[in-house]
Amino acid sequence: MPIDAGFPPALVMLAGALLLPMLPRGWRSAFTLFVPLLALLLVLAAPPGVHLTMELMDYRLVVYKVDRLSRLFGTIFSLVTVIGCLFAFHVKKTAKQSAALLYAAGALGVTFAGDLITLFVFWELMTLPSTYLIWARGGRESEKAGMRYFLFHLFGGGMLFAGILMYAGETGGVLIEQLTARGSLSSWLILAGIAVNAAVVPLHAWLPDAYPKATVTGAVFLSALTTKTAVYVLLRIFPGWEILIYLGVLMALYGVVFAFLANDIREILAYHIVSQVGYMVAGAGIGTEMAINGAAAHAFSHILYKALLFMGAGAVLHTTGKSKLTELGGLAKKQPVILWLYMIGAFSISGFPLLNGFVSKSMVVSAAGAAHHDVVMLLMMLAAIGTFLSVGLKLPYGVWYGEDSGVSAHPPPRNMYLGMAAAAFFCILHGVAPGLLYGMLPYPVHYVPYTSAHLVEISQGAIFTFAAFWIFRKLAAGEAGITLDVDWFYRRPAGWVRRVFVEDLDAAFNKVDALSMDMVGKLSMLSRNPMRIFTDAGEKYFSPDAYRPKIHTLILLVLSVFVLIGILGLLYR
Amino acid sequence: MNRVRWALLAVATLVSLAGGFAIPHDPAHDAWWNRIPVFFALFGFAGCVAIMFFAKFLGKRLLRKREDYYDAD
Repeated sequence: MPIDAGFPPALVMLAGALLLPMLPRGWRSAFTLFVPLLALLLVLAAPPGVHLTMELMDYRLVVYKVDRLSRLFGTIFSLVTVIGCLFAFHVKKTAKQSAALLYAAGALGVTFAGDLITLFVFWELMTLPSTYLIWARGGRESEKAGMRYFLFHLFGGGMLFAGILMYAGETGGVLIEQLTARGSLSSWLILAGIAVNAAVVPLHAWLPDAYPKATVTGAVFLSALTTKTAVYVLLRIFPGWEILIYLGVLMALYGVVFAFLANDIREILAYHIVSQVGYMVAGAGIGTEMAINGAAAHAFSHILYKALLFMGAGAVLHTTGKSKLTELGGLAKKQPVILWLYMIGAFSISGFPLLNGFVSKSMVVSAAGAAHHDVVMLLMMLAAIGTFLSVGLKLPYGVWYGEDSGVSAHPPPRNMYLGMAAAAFFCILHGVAPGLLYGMLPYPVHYVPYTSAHLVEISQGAIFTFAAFWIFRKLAAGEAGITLDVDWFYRRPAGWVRRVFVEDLDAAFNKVDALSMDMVGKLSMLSRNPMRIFTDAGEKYFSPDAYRPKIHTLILLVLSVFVLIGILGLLYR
Repeated sequence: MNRVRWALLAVATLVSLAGGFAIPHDPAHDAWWNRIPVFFALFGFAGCVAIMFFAKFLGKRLLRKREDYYDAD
C-alpha cells in the first residue's frame, strides 16, 4: 500500500518504532522526530471517512476512520509526540525511543479505531511500552511501581475485553457507537475498563503511584497519552452518562487535595492530571455539544501544558537529581529559563488569560452552567483555585524560591529547552488566538472566552488565592513522607496476601506432599514386603523362605501334640 | 517579591475589584453568585484556605506516613 492521505498514522508510528533499532545510531534521534511529524501530516491531510477495513471471522473491522473528533485527538497525540521526542532528543537508549513511538502508535490506533476489537488491540499496545517507560528509570521503586501499573492496566484491559465480548454477543456487532443501554452489564464493564485508563477515582491510584517514578522523558509521554485516549473514548462512547459528571467533579477536587499533600514535584503534577481529566470526564457526562467541545478542547490544551509542566519538573530532576520539595529550593537564580517556561505551563493550567487553559477550561465550566449544573460549576471553580494553589504557587515556591537548599544544578541539554519552548509556544498561541483551537472542535463553537466579566472573575479568584497562599505559605512547605491513597487497599495487604496465598499455601502443599510421599512409601512397602508393617525385622523384599518356620519348631510342635495326647490318654483311661 | 511587583499586584487587585462592581455579569447565565460583585475574591480566598486546611487535616489525621511505610513489613 503506498503512503497516501488515507494511510493510517498509527501504522507509521508502529513501523517507525520497529525500524528505529535497525538505523545507524547517529540517525535515531532525528528519526524519532521524523516519524511523529509524518504521522501528524497524515492526520492533518486525512479526509473524513473510513479508510481501512478488515475482516476478522464474521466481523467487519474498521481500522482507520476519521472524523472531526478523532482528527482533533490524533493531531494533539502526534504533536505532543514530536514535542516529547524533541525534549528527549539527547536520550540515546534505543529501547526508550522505540517505546515512546510504540506507545504513541497505540494512542493513535485507539483514536482512529472504528470498532471495538481494533480499539482493544491498540489499547493493549499502549500498556507495555508505557510500563517500560516507568521501568526504564531503574531502581527498586520504579520496578515495583511499574509492576503495579502493569497489573492495574491488565485488570482494566480485562474488564474492557469482557465488556466487548458481551457487547458483541448481545448486539452481534463490534462497531463503535454511543452506548445508551444503562442497564446492560456490558456497557458498565466497558465503562469500567475505560475508567481505569482515565484515572477515574477510585480507579486512579496507579497514576500518582507510577508517573513520579518514570524516566524524566518518559513521564512526558505518559502524562499526555494514556488518560487522554480514555477521555477520547468516553467522549465517543459515553456522552451524556450522568454518573460521569459526578465522578468528574470528584476527580477534580480529589486531585487538588492530594496534590497539596504531595512532596514529590512530579506527584503534584500527577495528581493534577487526575484533577484536570476530571473536567473532561464531567464534560463527557454533561454531554451537550458545548460540553463535548469544551472537554475536547481542554484535552488538547491540557496535553500541551501538562507536557510542559512535566518537562519543567523533569528538567529540574535531570539537572539536580532531586524531585522532592523538601530537598529543593532557591533555584530561581540558577535556572531562570526553566522557571519561566514552567510558569507558562503553570499559568495555563490555572486558566490565566492569554494562555490555552483559559480558553478551554472555562468552556467546560460554562457548559456546566449552561446545562444548569450550578453546583458542579461552583465545584469546578473551586478545583481551579486548588490547581493554581498547588501547581502555580506551592510547587514553584518550593523549588525555585523559598529557602535555598544549596542544591547545585548543571545546565540541561539544549534540546530540553527546545521541547519546552515548543509546548509553551502552543500554550500561548491558542491563548491569544482561540479560534485556531475552536476551529478544530467537533461542533460549531458559539462560546466567547474573553469577556470582561470572565476576566474579572479569573483575576479576583487568582489574586485572592495568592493572598491566602501568601498568608499561610508555611502550610504549603513540602513535608517528608508519602501520602496514602486507595493504593493502600492493594499495597498494604500485599504482605498478608503473600503470606496467605503464597507462603501458607506453600507450607500446606509441602505438608500434603510430605504426607502423601510417606503414604506412597508405606503402600509400596506393602507390595514389596507386607510383613514389615508388623515387624521391624525382615528383608526389604518379601521372600516366603524368610518367614517359613524352622524345622525344629515343627518337630517341637508335633512332639508337644504327641505328649499332649499321651497325657490326655492317661487321664481318661 | 520586590516592591515593584507588590505595587503591580496592588493595582491589579484594585482594578479587578472595581471591575466586579462596574461590569454587569453575563445575562446568559444568571447564578446567585453573579449578584455579588466581589464574590470571586471571597471565593478565591476562602476556597484556597479551605483546601489548604482540609488537606493538611486529612494528611495529619489519616494519610501522611513515613517514607518507608510500605516497606516496613
